[in-house]
Amino acid sequence: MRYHAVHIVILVAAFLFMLFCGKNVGASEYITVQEFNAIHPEQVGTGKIFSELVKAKGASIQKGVQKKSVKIAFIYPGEQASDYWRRSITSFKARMDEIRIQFDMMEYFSKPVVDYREQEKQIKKALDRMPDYLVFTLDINKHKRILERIVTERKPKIILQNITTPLKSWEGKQPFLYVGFDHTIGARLIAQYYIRKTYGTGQYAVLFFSQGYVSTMRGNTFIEYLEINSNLQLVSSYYTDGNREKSKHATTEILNEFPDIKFIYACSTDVALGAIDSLKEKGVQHRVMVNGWGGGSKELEMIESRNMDITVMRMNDDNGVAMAEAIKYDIEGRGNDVPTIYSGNFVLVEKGINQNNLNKLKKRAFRYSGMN
Amino acid sequence: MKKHRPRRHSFLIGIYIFISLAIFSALLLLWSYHSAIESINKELMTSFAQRHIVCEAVMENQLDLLDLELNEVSSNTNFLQKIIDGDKPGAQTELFKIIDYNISNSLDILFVSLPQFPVWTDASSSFFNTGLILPSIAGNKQINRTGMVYRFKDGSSDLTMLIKSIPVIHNTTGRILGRLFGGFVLNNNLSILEKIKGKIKSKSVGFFINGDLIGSTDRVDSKTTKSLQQARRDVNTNEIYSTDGLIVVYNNIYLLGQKTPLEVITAISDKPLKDVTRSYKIKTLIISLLSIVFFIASILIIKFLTYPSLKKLLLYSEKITSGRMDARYSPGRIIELNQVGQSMEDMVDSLKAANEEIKIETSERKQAEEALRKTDIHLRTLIRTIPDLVWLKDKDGIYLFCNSKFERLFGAKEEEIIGKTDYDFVNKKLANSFRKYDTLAIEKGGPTTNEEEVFYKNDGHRELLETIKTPVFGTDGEFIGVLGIARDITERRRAEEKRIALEEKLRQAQKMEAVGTLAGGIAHDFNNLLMGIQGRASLLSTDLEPYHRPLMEHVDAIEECVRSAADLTKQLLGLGRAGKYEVLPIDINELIIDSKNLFGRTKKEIRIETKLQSSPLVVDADQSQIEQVLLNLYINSWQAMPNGGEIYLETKAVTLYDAFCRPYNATPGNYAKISITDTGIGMDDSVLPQIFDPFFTTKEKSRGTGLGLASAYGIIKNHFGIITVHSEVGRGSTFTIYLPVSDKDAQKHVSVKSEAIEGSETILLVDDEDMIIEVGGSMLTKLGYRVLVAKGGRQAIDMVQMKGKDIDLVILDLVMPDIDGGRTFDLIRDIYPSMPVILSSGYSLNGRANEIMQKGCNGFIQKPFNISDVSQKIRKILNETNSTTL
Repeated sequence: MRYHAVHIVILVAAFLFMLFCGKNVGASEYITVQEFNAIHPEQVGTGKIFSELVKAKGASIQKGVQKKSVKIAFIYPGEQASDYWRRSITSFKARMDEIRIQFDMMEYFSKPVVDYREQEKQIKKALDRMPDYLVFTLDINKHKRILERIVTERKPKIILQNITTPLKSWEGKQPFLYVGFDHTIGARLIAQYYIRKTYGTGQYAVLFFSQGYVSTMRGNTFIEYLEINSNLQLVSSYYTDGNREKSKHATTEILNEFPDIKFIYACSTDVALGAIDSLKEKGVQHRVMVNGWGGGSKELEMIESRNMDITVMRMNDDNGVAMAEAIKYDIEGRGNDVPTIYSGNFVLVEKGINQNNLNKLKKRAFRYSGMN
Repeated sequence: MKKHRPRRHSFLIGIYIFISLAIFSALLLLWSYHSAIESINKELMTSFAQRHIVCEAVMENQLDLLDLELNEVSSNTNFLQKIIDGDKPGAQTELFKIIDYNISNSLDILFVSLPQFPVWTDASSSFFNTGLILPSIAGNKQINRTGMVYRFKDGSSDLTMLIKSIPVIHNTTGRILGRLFGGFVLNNNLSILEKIKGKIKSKSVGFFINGDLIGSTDRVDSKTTKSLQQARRDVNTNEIYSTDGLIVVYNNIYLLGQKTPLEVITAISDKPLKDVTRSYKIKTLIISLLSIVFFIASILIIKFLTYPSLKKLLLYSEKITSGRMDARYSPGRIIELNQVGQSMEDMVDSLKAANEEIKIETSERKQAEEALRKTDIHLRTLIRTIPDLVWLKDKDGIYLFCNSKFERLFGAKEEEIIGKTDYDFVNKKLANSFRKYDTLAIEKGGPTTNEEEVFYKNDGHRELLETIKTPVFGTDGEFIGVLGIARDITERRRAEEKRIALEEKLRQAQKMEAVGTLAGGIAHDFNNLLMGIQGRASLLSTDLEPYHRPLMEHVDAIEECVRSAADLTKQLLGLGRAGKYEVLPIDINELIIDSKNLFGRTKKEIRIETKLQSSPLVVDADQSQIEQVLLNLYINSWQAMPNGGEIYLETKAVTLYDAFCRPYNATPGNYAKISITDTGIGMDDSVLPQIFDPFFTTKEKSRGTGLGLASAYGIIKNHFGIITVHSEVGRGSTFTIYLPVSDKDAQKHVSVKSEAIEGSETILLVDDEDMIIEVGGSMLTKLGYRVLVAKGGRQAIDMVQMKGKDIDLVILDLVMPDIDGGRTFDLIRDIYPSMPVILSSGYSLNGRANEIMQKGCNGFIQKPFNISDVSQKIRKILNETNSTTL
């Protein structure tokens, strides 16, 4: 009898415990750069030094440190309109060569979202070859489910591209490097642009990427910022899976339903191109604003042709350079000098930008991957 | 002796209090710290129990989720149709759709097994190498709808999964088409681990199977994960493992009642414990600091409050210390210290008085100590030099001390005796005896006395010792030993023996004195009576004519009886030493010869041998009395030799010393020794003490009166002599007489013919007895004298005064009631200094009579006297008086 009573008490206590603990479950799954720096203040200094290192010309790895060629597995969903992935790997290789690191590349390409099953196989294959570094991204939960199987292992060291907000649940066992451009910064820059252009009033719609990290970071951050800082009204939103056609279709429906809409917020290059396609068809490309995301070659072409109103341009090659420098530091035994997050710089590029200025930006952003 | 340096005790007390406070505080903190840790541990175990339940709940939730998804799949009509149709890719696509739809909780294992095809179609994650695993799962009959934790392990794969299977049933026929398997791989399943970690708010969570780590929320090479592995190895379930910054507990989760548990290890930060420890460290520090501050503040406050008063007290104390006893205390602010000061003043006053007393006492004590020291020296000297033996032995008989006399007993020095026992010096028997009396004294608890004869080893002489042994106790009552004091009583014992003999002789003498006095009195009165009879008979005989011859015979018989009676009274008077009739220097040798001859003639059966001193042995004695003594002794010897024998007579001049004389109350000097030894039957020791007692006799009544030896004793004593007897039964007896030797020449005793001589002078007869007056008067008248009679001294003096010129001679009785003979004699001579006086008495010539004789009394006549005796005595004196007068 007494045993049952004790058992009941423990059960009740456990229930209350779960209730109490469960309050935090709904909090954001990611940690922003600012939050992360607040948690790890030493990362601020480390990050600044590392940023300078990335901007600078590459210095060769210390002689005699590298005993053997490093094996690097590159799995990236590069088969999309955005040349971010392509430029990233190009600049990475170029920098690796520049700093004289011997390496073996295992490259696996896939489509960004839906090809996750293929990505699983690629990862499995890559791991079977026991790479020293695994370069991947983390967009959807499926990626997380795969990565969590290896994130606590000694090898390979994981470098996640296109993500600068660490997973909260991985705190304490974060991958070797989060590298990319802070989506929230870009989202805010664009939001500020739209507020300025609309005076903070009117309707707008959002075209998300697929359900996942990118949509959350770029889309939700944008929406939240406008809600707080303007009277702009979100009237419609679609997940496009980063598909240009889906985006075009969604934009058409939005325009049909909300003809007075002032702008469409696109969460990626392909999405923006699909929206532009629709706007052109409707003939409202001069009335309804649209933005790009990332400032890749396609987007810059749209800016130059005035089909796109605004984009945030990433200093793209810094992404690859950062990975190369991180690996160099790691080989040199200076892994602690590598920040957990490397977030590259954005530049806001509006239509009508001076060609010289634009060229300078391109030269800076694509210094390893080339202007074209 | 080590001298302690004075210290500031106030400072030490302060330090002591401070340390005590610090220790007490530390102990209190330690106790509360341990209580807190204990409480935290209990709380920890409770919280870990709660976490355990939450873990179970999470895992069961996963099973529910699995169940839900499998049911969703199995009920999907498209999926069922694909199976029915045998469309494997189609069925796989349907499975992918379902997995993709539940993207956040997608299954890792999902495949369909048909009876002929264990793995018919598969949508499991290609991340895992499931090629060999899935057939194994399909073939495991234990995997059913309930679900289980299943571990597959071969050379290349080691996967643990949470897995279930449900039947795939035809939606129309109800036929079981196959089984649908689904599950989650638990290896490195951070989703589940983090879910658990998040829900139970732990620092780390890990899964183990059979002790092998299959997943952890931390890196495998992290310290945390290593700690989890260490805890799994080192502790049992529900035990706390504390390591670097972590508190780790692992529990087994028996999902769905399965035998193989999923071991879940949870680790939390040890921050609570560290916080408690840190908190207690801070508190300890604070309390320590506060204690120091409080202590210093207390000291300062106490000093501020008390210092002025204490200073005054100290000054006063210093004055007193420096000898200024007349200093007075100046009161301060603190009443208590004032009271102390006042008390000190009173104390100083008392001390002054006491000091004086102490000085006196010290002086006296020094004197006493000096005296005691001297006494001690004297005592030691005394003890060492005392003629007695003194020693001290402990309870075991070991000598602790002895004096010089004792050293002589053992023939060893004191230092040789100390530490040893009697057995080291005397034979065992004597040592046993010594020990016995030691023990007796100890048991008695008081002095014991014994005598023992000892042999002195130093010179070999013997002593009879009287030993007193006394147990000695210390002031605290502790037994120290036995003190022995032994005194040589050899001489004393001899003296005592002599004293006893002397006392016996004295007692005998006193007895004889008393008997003599009695006998003398009786003899005196008896002589007076005999005087009457003798007088009458004498008168009668003078009146008888020859023809009265028959009457004459009767008168002669009466006179013979009177003589016998008079002899008896002589014996009595001798016994009573009532005097000597006529003392003259006589030669004892002659007397011995005369008496021997006289006795020898009557006792022919006795042979008498003599051995006499060659020179005359002259003594002052009444010859007749000495003759009586000798005859009495001869008769005694004769009676001791009924069958005849020998008597040896010996005389010798000897000198007796005081030691010999004292028992007999005799005077030392030259004596004539007379020994009468017979060869008779002798006497035993029981008889000897009584032989001189009056009327004591061993003979039959008819043979003796019992007065012979008693009379001899009295006569000899009356002659200032000594008579002793030595006798041995069967060998005879020896009587020895000692008589003081006279320096005079011996006179011959002349016997006078006994016939009455008549006269015509006037004689005053003085006597208080009428019978004497009558008989005496008649006798004198018969003799021709003119008789005047006075019945006492007063009447006699009156008559001398009145008719003195006519009185020629006075016969004066010695013993009279009013004025006795001596006083009457003096008064008569006062009136007529040359008046002849004859002293008459029933006593012999004793002390008083002799005194009168010395005064010039002309003669003595003892009653009873006959007419012849008295006539010759009167005539002799009258003739002498007349010749002198002429």
